[in-house]
Amino acid sequence: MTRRVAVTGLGAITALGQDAIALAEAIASARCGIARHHDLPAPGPREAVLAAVTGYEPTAHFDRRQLLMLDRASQFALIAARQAMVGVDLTGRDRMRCGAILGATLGQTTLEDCYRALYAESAIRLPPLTVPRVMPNAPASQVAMAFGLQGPCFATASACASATHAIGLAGQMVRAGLLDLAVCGGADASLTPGTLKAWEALRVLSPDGCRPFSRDRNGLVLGEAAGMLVLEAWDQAVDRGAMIHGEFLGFGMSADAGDLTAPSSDGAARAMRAALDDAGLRPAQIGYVNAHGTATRLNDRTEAETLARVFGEHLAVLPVSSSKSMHGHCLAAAGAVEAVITVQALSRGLLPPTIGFTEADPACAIDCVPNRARPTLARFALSNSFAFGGLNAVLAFGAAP
Amino acid sequence: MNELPPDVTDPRTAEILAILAQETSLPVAQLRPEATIEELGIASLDLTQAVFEIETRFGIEIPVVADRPSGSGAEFTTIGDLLAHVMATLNRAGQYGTA
Repeated sequence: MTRRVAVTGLGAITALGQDAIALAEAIASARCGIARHHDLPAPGPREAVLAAVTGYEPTAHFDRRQLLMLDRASQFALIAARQAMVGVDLTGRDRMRCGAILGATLGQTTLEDCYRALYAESAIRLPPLTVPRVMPNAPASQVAMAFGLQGPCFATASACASATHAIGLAGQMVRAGLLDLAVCGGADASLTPGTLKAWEALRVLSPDGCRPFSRDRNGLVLGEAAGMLVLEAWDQAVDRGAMIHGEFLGFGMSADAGDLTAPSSDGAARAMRAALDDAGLRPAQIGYVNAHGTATRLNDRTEAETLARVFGEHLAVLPVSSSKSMHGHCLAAAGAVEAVITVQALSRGLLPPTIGFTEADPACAIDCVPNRARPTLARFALSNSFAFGGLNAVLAFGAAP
Repeated sequence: MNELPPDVTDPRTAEILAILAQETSLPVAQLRPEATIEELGIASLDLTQAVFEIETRFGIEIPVVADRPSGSGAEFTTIGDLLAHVMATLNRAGQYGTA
């Protein structure tokens, strides 16, 4: 059984705003969600350049009892899922055929608060909901509970490709007839002292901003976010009169089976080709690529080289941008936010820019849509994610007819 | 980078190079100031681990280099760049001895 898969819901909470429409509007106006934050909690760095969700009030979204169960990451996941599920009524539908597949995300805030209490403050007991708040499937389980999705529910763990794997698997399961509806994506809220110190030690964080593909780029900027899509069997979406934002067309994944952290052009190329094959698309049909584009020296150079291998001469007319320049690197949620942005790019006919671009790098010979959004007639797009551990995942989407 | 070229007679230099040699499995003789990280084939993780070991040895935090030579993008192009940055950090921290 092979069915078409409609994208019938989009949700997001990012440094660019607390819903998916705010995200699209920020991107259209090339706004930057990255800022230098001061007075960060000890013992982490006192100041850092981050893409943080600011002005967020948990109590505006959840009551006190709910908040006892929810790490910040699960809160973000639920907020994005509520947006994506607006207008979806599951009454009368087979809930065993509805699932939630999200990227695995530790409840990092809860974890660090507990360790601080235990090791630094000699707490003699921890809150009883610590374990279910921290577990990496918590955001997926919370989404399933919130909407009564009783079929497949699990979390995919592939570091910065986690959400991309989640969406890809969900899309393939709907296509194969194993699911009728999937809420899929991911959340990440890890801008905690421990996480910042750990990333700092890798020496890949930019001290001043995220400038993907620019000659003067000097590293990535961490962000927090959630992104969520509803993927649904096409005929059922049409029958219920759902708004169709786009079409899930394919997914490709590969492992470098090489270095733990250094990117591999071979591995990335295999994933992009696998996504094109899975979608039944030729390289020349692709009109936009949302790059992994972290703004590390090595990622961007390797990604540009890989795009040249996969797309050949077509790369000369293929816009490729990194929206991370605006919403930062959202780790386990990165692929979800970028999938939302990719679908919006096709449905709104507007390519996200790579902002902060100063000067072309000869090692990154691509049209990165510098600094300003650009109208497009693109029908098909890819979204790339490449993770530590050498894990590559690429999604293919089409514009709604 | 606005840092002075490394003083190879400084005893701390020998110690830093010894750590670097250990983490990269390269002989100290090859770690000449003008040798580039790329031509020595030093993997970025090994270099990062070496910086961490140097931080641990001297009890300092070596900040990420923000101001990089245009086009390279790497924190350190040569062994000399690394030495100079570590030395500058040590001197700012007031660590002049080898204790």
